[in-house]
Amino acid sequence: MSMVWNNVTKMANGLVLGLAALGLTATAAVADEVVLYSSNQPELLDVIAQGFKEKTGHTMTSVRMGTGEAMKRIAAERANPLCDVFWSGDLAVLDNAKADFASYKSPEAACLDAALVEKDAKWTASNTHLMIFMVNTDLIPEAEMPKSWADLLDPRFKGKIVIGNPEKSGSAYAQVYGFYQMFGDKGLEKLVENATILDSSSLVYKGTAEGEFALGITMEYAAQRYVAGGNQKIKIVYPTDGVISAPEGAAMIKGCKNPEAAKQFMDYLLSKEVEDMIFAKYFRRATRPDAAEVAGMPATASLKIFNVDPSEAGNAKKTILAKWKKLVLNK
Amino acid sequence: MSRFRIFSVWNIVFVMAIVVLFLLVVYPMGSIFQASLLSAETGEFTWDNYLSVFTTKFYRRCLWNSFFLSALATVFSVIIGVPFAFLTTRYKLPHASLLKTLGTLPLILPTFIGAEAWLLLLGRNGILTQFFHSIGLNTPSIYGWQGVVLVYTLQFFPFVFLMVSAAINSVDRSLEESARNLGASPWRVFRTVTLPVVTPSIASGALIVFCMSIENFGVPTIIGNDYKVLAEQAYSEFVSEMGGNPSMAGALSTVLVIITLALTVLQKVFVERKSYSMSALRPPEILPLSKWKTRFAWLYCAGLVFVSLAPFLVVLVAAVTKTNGPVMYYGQFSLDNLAIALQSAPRPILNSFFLSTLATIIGMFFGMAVSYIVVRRRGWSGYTLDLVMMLPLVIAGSVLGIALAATYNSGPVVLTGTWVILVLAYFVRKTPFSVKTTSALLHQIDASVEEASINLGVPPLRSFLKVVVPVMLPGIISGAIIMWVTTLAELSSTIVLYYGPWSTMTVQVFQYIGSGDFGPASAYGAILILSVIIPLFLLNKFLGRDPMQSL
Repeated sequence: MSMVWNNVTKMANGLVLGLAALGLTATAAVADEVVLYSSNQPELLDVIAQGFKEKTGHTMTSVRMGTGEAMKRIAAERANPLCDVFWSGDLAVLDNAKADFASYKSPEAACLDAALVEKDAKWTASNTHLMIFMVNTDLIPEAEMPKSWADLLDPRFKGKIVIGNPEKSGSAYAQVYGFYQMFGDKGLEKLVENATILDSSSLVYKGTAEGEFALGITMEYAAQRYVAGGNQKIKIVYPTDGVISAPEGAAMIKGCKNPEAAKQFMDYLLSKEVEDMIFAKYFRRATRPDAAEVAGMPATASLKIFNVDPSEAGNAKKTILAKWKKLVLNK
Repeated sequence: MSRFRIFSVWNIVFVMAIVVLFLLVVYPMGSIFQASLLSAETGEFTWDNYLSVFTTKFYRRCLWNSFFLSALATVFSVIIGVPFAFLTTRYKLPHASLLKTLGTLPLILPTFIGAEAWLLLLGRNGILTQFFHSIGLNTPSIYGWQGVVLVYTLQFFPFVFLMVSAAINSVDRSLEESARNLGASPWRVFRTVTLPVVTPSIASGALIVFCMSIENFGVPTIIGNDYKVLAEQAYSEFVSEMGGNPSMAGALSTVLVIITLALTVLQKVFVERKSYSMSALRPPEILPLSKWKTRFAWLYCAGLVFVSLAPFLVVLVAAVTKTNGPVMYYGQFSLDNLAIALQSAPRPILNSFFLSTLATIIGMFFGMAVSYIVVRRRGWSGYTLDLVMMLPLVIAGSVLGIALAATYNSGPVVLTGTWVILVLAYFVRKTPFSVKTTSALLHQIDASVEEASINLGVPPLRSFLKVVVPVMLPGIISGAIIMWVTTLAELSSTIVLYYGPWSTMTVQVFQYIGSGDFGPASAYGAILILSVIIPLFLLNKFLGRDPMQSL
């Protein structure tokens, strides 16, 4: 028994030493390395890191966390910033935290619409989420699919629609905000009447893909992953009366340790090459007007886009959520 | 003189243990309670947070849902666990000991992986659902409370089974024999002798199932859909993307702790008083059954084990199934997801091993010292230490996580957002297991043996190491393994406390399930399952003991 025990301790010792070394290398900051806080998926970050290294020779290390958490950490590290760039978060959230960002207008951003770059270039929009209807054709035959937001309000869709909770999810808030701008109080009332509200926005697309729900109001990329993955029951409807577009952006951190490399990284992120790759592989639509098209997805120009203005959306948040809550509680 | 020396060493250890537990349990829980009494807006004293738990329709529903789920899971666990205990312990069944070992396995496998697996089987697109559809059967949805109860029952029934089978084994054979000799019918013997001895153990098992169910939040999050429970709300108030409400999280957490604490106290007062302590010199005889009864009994036990372990086979299969984004292609195999987990994203795996190992090592030494004090020092000091040490068992992991994160995110010692806080949370949550397994053995050695050693001139600490530790060793090892595997499988405190680079395997699984990517979720899940099962298997093989049964 004591032999087993000895072996166990030996193994454990080796493990701890090895892992402690790993922990140390991860915490020690290296001079010309860009540290990225990001909410994006690890595969995508790996690809970006590799491409950036090939292009500039700089290393990019990413730390993955939710946008909300990242903003909290960046604020907490104000005196001693541990990260150089953040990418990518809802513009309204970034706008709120802009005091912690440095101004940097990337030459790559020159082609962007003025609304997509903060006025002092504290953040720059890199890609945008289109809010679409994800339909499971097992439950709603293609011929009966709604074409527009106005169609959704029809009583025949009552109980068939799911939407995320705008009090809990940023993307659901963008949907409700855009919808409210188009349809006002009356429309909101009808939407709440027809829809089931789910706490997490991911339940919307997962449940629709599984056939638990007939129609989910969700982000284009989330639904397109199922279509591209080969789930033939899933169809995407781009509402004809307005596809709400909620851009996401990147920002350089104020007082960051590696400003030069960080600028190069921003340029790289916003470049046509990278934006096109992200759209083609990860279905996040580029904000650049010169972005390449992706087969099987409509060109942005062919859609009627409703742009969400981040600061207006932020200002209206309290009022709209209060209206929403009142409707939901009285449902 | 020698007595004085013993106490001077152990006094220091005692004070240190109390300070550590105060800083990691009592103080954080106190501050979360304090937060719950303050208004989130004004910071003034208010009962509003508690009032809204009980008056808001939404929270009242959560409260009711929590009770409903936990009660159902408890009832079902008793219904299936008690017969399993009797059949495998009292009757001659083929491979009974294997069945018993396999029957404990669901305990060490993370509940949210069970939830994921049942989704893969019985979700709308599940393997079994598709099969049932193809033969014309329309199975109901697993989403909602039904699925949650199913997962809880299948994962927690071993608590009932373990408690009951230990109680059955403690009934001395002579008791039943004398009852029979006095002319009682087998049913009467069962009713008047066996049942009274076993009932308290059913109650203890049921209590554990109830507490484990009510504090669980991974399973309802994954398959509850809009069936919301209290534990989930406490968590989501704390980590909301749109800005949470720490006071409300505090109030919900406190309510949860009060429920589990109250039940535990009730159990102590009413059940333990009725328990018959006996050490069976001769365990009850194992009875043969008729051929058909054996077949049925065996089918029941093996079937139960199979169903409760099937989910884990499913995860292993899903880990090697071909996927394209979130879409799974069953029947086609690929090692891509495993390769990604092991090669390009191995950090969470290493993190899990590192954090668990460190927490286990600290917990092992701490547990050794605490169980020594608890066993050797009767009276208030030992009792207090025991109580504080066991407190984390009734605190939901997410609640303790919230308490630690809120307490150590500012002030002189900032730990929130570092890996240290994860180790501390694991340590404080899992050391009670080590104390339990170790102190059970410690009760068996008389203090005089050690005193003799001290009187012969060996210093107290060396006497402890030379005389006591060897006796405790099997308990220490079992405790360490239990700590290690349950820490690897720990989600509830991790999800609150981890940050960026210190994500663990459990967090990966949970997040991938969250985004609908069952392929990578299963890959990490399979690695997790194997890392949990292999040490237990080795322990069983080399030490000939099943650590779960020593709890």
